[in-house]
Amino acid sequence: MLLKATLVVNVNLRELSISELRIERDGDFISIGRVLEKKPRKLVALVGESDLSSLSVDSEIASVITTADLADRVPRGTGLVISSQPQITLYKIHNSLARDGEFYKGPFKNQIDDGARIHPTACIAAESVTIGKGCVVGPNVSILENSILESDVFVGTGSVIGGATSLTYVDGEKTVDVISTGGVILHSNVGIHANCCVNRAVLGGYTEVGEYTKTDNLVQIGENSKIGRRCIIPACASVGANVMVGDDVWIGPNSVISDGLSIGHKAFITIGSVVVEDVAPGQKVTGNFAIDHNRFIELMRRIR
Amino acid sequence: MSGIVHLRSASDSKLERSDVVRSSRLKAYLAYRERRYQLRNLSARVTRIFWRLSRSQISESAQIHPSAYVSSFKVKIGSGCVIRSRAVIHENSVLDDNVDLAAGCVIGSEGFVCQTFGKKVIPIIHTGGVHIHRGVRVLSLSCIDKSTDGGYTEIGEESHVGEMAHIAHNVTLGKRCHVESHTMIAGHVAVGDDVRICHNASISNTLVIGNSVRIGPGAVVTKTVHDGESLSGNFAIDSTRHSSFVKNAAEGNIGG
Repeated sequence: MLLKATLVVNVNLRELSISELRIERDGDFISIGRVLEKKPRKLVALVGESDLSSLSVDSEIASVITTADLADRVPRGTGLVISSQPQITLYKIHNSLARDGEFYKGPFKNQIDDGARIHPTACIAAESVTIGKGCVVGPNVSILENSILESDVFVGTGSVIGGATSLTYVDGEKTVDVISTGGVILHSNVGIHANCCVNRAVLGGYTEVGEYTKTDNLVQIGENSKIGRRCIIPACASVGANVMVGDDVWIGPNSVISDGLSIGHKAFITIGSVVVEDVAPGQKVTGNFAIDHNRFIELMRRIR
Repeated sequence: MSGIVHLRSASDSKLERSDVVRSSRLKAYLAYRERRYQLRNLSARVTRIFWRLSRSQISESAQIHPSAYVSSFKVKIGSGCVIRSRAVIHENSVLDDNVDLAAGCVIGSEGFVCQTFGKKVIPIIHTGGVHIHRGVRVLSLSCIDKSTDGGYTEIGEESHVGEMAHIAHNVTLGKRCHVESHTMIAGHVAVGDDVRICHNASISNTLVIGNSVRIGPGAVVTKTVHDGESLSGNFAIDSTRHSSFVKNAAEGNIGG
């Protein structure tokens, strides 16, 4: 609902006020993201071969930061910046644009529905929070900037919605934080129980939790992850950053999903799994590292 | 020729009709199931309204930090309890004497039982509570859930629950248990006395854990554990077998 109202700012690579930026070909962009991410006309960092192969599939790439070796293989129509560390250059550009204040959506006035029940001990940020009809916010909850709660969302005791991530890069001898500029959307009828953390997206955009998805206590959802509808996430599970989870997925208690993976619809991740590879729709995975459930049980029979 | 066509169409329509009957019966059954579930939740809501009739009883010798939140209904806090900053105690919780709750821990949070009905997921409204016995220590950010249908999630005498541990609905923890940090104990688990559950272990739901058991760090327990056993690994097996497996694997012979 608010996504469409975002002001579009077109940035030219030559306008950037960053020292030692080697611009090979001029170009512009209106968002910063990753390859295959759903963002319009974006600036991306290409690090490896795998990114290059998916470059031809993604039609929304406007400008590219990459190493000198890979530069020849970038399509002609896109802007090109050459850097020995493309990801760090991307973060530097992002940080300078975030401080600038125009590129990313500015703060807006809180819109809190009268029908929402917010506990007096809960802490709601002073600006940029939307809370819809029928939402219940429990004691000691923190709802921070750029969080959107649609209707009938339940946020349990002590949870933090829209906390910043610890995404950093090393610049010389200093560790620099990447400024979080995105937000969190909890779609209607989402249930978040006690002491959970849903982190806000960093490079603009939103961390999303789909309709009717329920999470138990102490669950952590990383920045820019998209959780589908009707997912059930029992206690202590941890979903990394940039993870795409389909609909009707069961993410087992105390399991971990590593950064940047995609989990298909109706997948089943068993208790205590550590998922480090993509999971196909309907697949059941188990173990540390997670493999197909039946194969894992066979292995267990051999060693039990 | 026309007869054959006629026959085929007749059988087709018969099939379709039976399919329709079956799917409509299924739909009716699902609607019934959802209604029964909603009715159960409605009665749970009514039960929870009745909780508001009994005010909380807090012992005068209990120390409660000003930033802690204690519900005003149906909470009992015994003498000598210490409730530290930003701890939360929800309705229908019973704390016996000398219980120590560290900062940010949540007692009586809503349990996690969900049912999917078509495109909706509806959580159960819990009507039970939490009973923490004498001398228990619960460390920072831990969560202990309410039990589902009446009764209590129980933490036995002199037990210790570590940081960020999760103890789900209807768990009964025995006496002198030691649950370390990041541990996850799922619903309806019955744990015996003198059990030690090490860091980041998970215990699957409805299991029975015997007395004097040791569950190693990071273990994922999926089967009942008998008295005196020691387990480790994901999934958990006997500790000695697990260490011999790891030793063999390190030497390159997987499956030993």
